[in-house]
Amino acid sequence: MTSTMSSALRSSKRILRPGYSWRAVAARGISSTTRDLKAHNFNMPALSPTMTEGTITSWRINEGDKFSAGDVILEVETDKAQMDVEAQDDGILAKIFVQASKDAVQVGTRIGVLADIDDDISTLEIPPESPSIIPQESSSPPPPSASQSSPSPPKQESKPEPTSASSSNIEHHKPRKNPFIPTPGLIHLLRTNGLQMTDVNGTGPQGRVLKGDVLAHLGKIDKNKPKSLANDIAQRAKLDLSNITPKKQPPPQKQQEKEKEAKKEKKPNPLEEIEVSIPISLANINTAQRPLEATIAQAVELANSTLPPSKIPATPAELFDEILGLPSSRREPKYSVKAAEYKPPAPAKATPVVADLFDEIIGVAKPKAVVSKPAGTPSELQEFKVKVPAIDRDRAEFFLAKVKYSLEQGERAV
Amino acid sequence: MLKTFQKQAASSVLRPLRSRFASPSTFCIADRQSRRGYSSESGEHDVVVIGGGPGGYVAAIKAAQLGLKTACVEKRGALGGTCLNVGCIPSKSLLNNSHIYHQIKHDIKQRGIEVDNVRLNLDQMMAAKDKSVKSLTGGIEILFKQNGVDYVKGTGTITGENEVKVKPIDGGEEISLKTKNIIIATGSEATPFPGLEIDEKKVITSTGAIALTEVPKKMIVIGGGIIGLEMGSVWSRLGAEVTVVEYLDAIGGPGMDADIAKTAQRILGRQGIKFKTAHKVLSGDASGKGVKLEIESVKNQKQDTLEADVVLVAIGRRPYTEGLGLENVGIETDERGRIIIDQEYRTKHENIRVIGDVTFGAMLAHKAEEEGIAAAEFIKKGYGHVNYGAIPSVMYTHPEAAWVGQTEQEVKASGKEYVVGTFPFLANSRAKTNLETDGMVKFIAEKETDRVLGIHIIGPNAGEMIAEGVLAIEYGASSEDIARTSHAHPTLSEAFKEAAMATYDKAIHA
Repeated sequence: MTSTMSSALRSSKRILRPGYSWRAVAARGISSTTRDLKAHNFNMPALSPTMTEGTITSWRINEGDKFSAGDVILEVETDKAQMDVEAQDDGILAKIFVQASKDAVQVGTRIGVLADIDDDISTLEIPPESPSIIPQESSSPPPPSASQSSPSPPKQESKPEPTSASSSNIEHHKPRKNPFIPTPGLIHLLRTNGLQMTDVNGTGPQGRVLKGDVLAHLGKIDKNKPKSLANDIAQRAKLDLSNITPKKQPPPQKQQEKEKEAKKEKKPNPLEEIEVSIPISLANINTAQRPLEATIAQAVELANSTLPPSKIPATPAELFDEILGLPSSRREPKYSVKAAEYKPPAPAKATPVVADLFDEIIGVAKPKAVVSKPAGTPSELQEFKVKVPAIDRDRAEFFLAKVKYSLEQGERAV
Repeated sequence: MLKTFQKQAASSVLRPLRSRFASPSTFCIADRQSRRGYSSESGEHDVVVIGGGPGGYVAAIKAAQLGLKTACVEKRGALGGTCLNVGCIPSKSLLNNSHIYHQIKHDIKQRGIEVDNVRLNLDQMMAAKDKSVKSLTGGIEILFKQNGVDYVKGTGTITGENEVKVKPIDGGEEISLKTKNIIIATGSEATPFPGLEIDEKKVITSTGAIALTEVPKKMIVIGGGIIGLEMGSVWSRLGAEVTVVEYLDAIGGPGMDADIAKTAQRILGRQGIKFKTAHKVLSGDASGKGVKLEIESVKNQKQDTLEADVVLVAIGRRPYTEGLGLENVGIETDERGRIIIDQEYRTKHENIRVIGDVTFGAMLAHKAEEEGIAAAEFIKKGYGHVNYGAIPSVMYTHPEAAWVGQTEQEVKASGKEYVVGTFPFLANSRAKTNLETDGMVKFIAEKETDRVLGIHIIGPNAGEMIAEGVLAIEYGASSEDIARTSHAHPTLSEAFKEAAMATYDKAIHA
């Protein structure tokens, strides 16, 4: 037997296995090959995972006709498209139960009987409709009553193939809260823990159940972990527009002069350190979901990642930096701190900024930027401070505003 | 970049606007009427897209497919933008063909093939490149016709919230396009290096690097990002002595995982490219026969002079908005020149949207493309979507480097606990039979949930292999999901699977 044939056989088994949900099989082919039955029922196939009913627009062959693999047997119209149903291997169309009409036929309803290519259809025993395949919804149109003589379905007696535990587990569970097929990694996890997809809430894209969800359900990992991770990933899925510095419009002349004067005043020591501070409320941070230090560290990271260029007077290095067109965080002074410093309640600690390549290059004193956070509960309004060269006051204010925004609004946005 | 040309019933025929307005001598009553009709109610467009690059042309086609009356304004004279004309596409042609040349010259002897008299015909290599470019840009014009997009050749300037004036490229009278919506997709240009004037002969950008008429003896690349390394590879393979000067400590630019960058530098170094990382260029002098560069070590301030026949400036790209008329409608840019938008790509005017390199996000053709589709859908349906967490990057050197999601450094900085799993191509059967065993696959997954956060590949065919990684991240896969998915044997993709196994458990072949 050729490999094509054997694969066709395999898929036909899948399609014809009694009790197997049609909805789970997205196969467009049909097959007449069976193991022990001479003829078998041909039911309305599910041509897409979401198809529940279809309309037979035409039978392409007549009752009694032989067909070979690849032949189009009938045309079915769904709400989405018109599709041809092809035979996957050779056979005979022994009987047609549902003729082409405008009425919709439920998926799984018997529409015909197929026989093996060698069968004599004049003496063929027509099997009764398999009840397990008939949709349970009462709204479905009653199947044609013809030849439903035998009360006991032979298919169930012969039971050609044991239904695997997994398929019965998953398929017979109704109604399905979660329409997703378990991912390869999940099948193992669900089976070994006696779980079903429907037991678990999904935090994946569009509510998919992920491995982490099952692990959390089993109590093997922190219950909130999948959700917080999903939030973080959702945040990264957005275009980062959190920190935009509009190009400054040329200010009116007077203001310009004032600025010039201010600059002149500053000139004697533009790198003199000043302290910039801003009160930030940590009331909105859910420490149960994520440790405070991680939240603050992320806010600091986020703020650093989109800071405007430092105002340290234009040096060749800065010029080079600007034209590089790379994110400023790679080269601009960062106001970074160790996240671990923020375990609430944490004593106020000065954390020296990590030495930045940029500062070494331009040969200026390292901007000894320090973010300090007074002790207290996370819900208090707290003073966040940054020490920077005077010339970078705007930048530091900007940084703090950004941190403030992240800590006060960011969580809510998520 | 370019998709297969789908056969589709043309909903309207392309109107050659240019010929209609170009020459005053051809004006007759009918022409005047049609022109007047153009700016009247019935002639008003639903969407005018400014820029015909990967963002703009995709947005225009999608808008037309959604039933919107669409025009696309492009001043280059050919569609496809930087990507198709002077970027991704021509450089891939040169990368592929220079690789074949290099392989025949240096590699195939060990495979049992001996060829004498291997010579480079650079003119023919360039002609092959031009042929690819021409057929692709011409293909977009056909797509425009098939989808009924009006192609307006000229410089578009926004003169009002609902008006774009176009100055035709071949002279002639200015055309006024009235429109309900405008999509700005004007892209980016190479950032020049101060003190070095670009002449595209001795001091070149990527545009000149795909059109050199002879192989330079010595070439310096300023900037060790993707563009610099790709073009450096081409000319290195063709015989140039290439030195890459990079300001940062590692090559690859932002976004490349440090492990991948290190491996890439080692492999490319072995191929003959010299690296001066952590060096900055102080000044350049192109007045002589060649170009002289003064460089300085970032670490110890040691200065050095480099000389070369050609200097490639590849220090990044900047948004291009020249002549766009943003000031006419008060649209702001940020301090880097990027047009300020919201999550639905809208400017302060709701009907003017911006996509691609000229605004925020990574400067990638496929990112612009996704945005083009989303912008058109926002206009028509009020909803569009781009997942910025699952946009792949590829560097087409040999071997290729490709990645999606977060780098290890990013994950570390975000404070998450994570697991790294790697698998070297040295242990992959197909790579071994191909005699191309450089590189590895690296997975980063969240420690507890096993959810994949980033995938980084350097190795043969990494650019194709990353598609599986993008799908994994898009669907929220765990490394176990990938590890339990069958991968054909013997293929390079088994290395991908084994790296996933190494992440949640243990690899079999390592």
